[in-house]
Amino acid sequence: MAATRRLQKELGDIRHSGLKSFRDIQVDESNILTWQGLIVPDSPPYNKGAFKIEINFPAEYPFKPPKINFKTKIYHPNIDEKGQVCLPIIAAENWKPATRTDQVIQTLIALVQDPDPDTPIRTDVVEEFIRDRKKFMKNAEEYTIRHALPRPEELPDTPTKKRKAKKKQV
Amino acid sequence: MSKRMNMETPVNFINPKLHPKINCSIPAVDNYEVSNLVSEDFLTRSRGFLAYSTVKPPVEVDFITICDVNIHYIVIGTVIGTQRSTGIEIFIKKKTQFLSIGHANVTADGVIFCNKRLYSANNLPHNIPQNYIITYFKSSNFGVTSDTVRLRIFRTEKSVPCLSKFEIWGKVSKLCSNVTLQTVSHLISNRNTVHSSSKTPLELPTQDFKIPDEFLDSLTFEIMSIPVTLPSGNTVDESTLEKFIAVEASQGRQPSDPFTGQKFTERQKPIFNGSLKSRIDMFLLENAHKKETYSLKRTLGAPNYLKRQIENNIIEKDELSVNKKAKCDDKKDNLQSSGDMLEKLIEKTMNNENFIRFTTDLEERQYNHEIKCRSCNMKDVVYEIPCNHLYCRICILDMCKTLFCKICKRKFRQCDIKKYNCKDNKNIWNF
Repeated sequence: MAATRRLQKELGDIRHSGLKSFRDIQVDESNILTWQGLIVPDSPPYNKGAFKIEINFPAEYPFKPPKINFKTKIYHPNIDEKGQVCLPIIAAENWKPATRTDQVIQTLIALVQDPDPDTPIRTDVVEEFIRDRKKFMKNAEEYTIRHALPRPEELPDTPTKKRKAKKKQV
Repeated sequence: MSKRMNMETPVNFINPKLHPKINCSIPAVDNYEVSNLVSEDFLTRSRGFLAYSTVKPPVEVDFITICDVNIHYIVIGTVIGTQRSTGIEIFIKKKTQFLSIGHANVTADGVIFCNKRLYSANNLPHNIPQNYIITYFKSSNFGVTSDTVRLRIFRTEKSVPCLSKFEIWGKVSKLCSNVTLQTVSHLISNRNTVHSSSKTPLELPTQDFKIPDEFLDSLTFEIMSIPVTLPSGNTVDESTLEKFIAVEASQGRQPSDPFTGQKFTERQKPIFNGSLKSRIDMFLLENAHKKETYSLKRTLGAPNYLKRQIENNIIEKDELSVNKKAKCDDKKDNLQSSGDMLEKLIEKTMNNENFIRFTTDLEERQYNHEIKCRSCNMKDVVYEIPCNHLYCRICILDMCKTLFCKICKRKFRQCDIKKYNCKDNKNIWNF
């Protein structure tokens, strides 16, 4: 399968680079096409929790884009209740095979922290986001506290963990 | 400890792994050069050295070893086929001059010079070839230690001077530094590992094995079988690019660089990277015994398919979109039998005023079996010119003055005229 080697390389690179806002990457050894990880935003209103996402790569990757799904409920104009994300970079018509997954994740984190009212999925939320920013912030923060996962500890002991994980992967 | 143990048994210093050098100014028969004696290849080594047929004894060959050697014994093979060197003399270099340490009349396949101190008739070196005569160094008063051994063939028996084998067995001289000793034992142990690895290639640990990054496809990170370099400077495999182009085509886009999105043009298009391909193949060949390379694909040849496809795509840019529309329109008609379709299409094209018929006469001729001159209707032997018009000999000779076809006024060359042979029609030959 063409995707395998590329995904192995990308996974290795991401784990090695140690993204601060994307952590606990879990990959089933038997199926490298599905990744799970935690989005840990830095800025309010989402900085009170962590959000689990799942990245599904098609077998044709990198010729077809990956799909991203939020497993944790989030109050966000660009992410709907089912967890679908509207991310232009991984839309089929915009997809470039040279785009790397870490770039996709960076874009996703940027979108989470800075919602884009031009490409909304939830119209009610986006209206609130435009009209009444304070109310939106309040709602989103409450929603985050209620539904989001606890944030993982800061990074003191992660390097060793990562190394172990990498060894297992290899 | 192990290093010292290695050196307890004498070592052959003419072993190729110990980088011995040979000096000899005598011309040799092709493929029987003196360097054969130190070749790494067993077959080359066993071929030996055969001087050119006009060379007469004496012939001198100098062997220079990696360091000063305390020589225990020297093995010399003197027979190649029917060629036979019979008089051998050995010298060692002491400072600037050569001292003779022994000479022998060889009546057997070779000769072994032994150090009298170490060996005797009852205590011969191990693993020495059979049927060699044993002789001893002249003097045991001085240590036989040197880095250069000169061999002189002073007599031959109705043949040219030859050497089938030369080995200097000994130990690193005690005067040499520890570094030298270590280097030598390292080189020897190298030989041992190589030896064992060739026996059990699969059990070797392959941690160090890494495919160089430049051999990997920039998109899929697989090793490339047909590397093509894109206008953006990235190199991908042909199959990757083909898949990408197919996906792009499904989106209705023209072939482009996967990295920059720049469309391919006549001047900016992927180029087959031949030198990289040869390096990849070389790498795969060298590492063919390694597990990692088992599953890798290998190919021969150039990416003709891709080239053709891209060229077509560039040329037929506009036609593509037209064709697509045409296809959509014709979809309903697909239900009809293909034969009907074909006839209709032919009719359509024939009636098109832009359609030019080049082959009318050819068709006519094929269907009507009319083999005759177009100008005088002579059914004689006829000749054909590139526009497919047929003429008899007289008319064609007439036309050769102007070199224009009488019917279509097209120009032709004298060398284009061919005798027209038709197998189906026997009229020509029945005359």
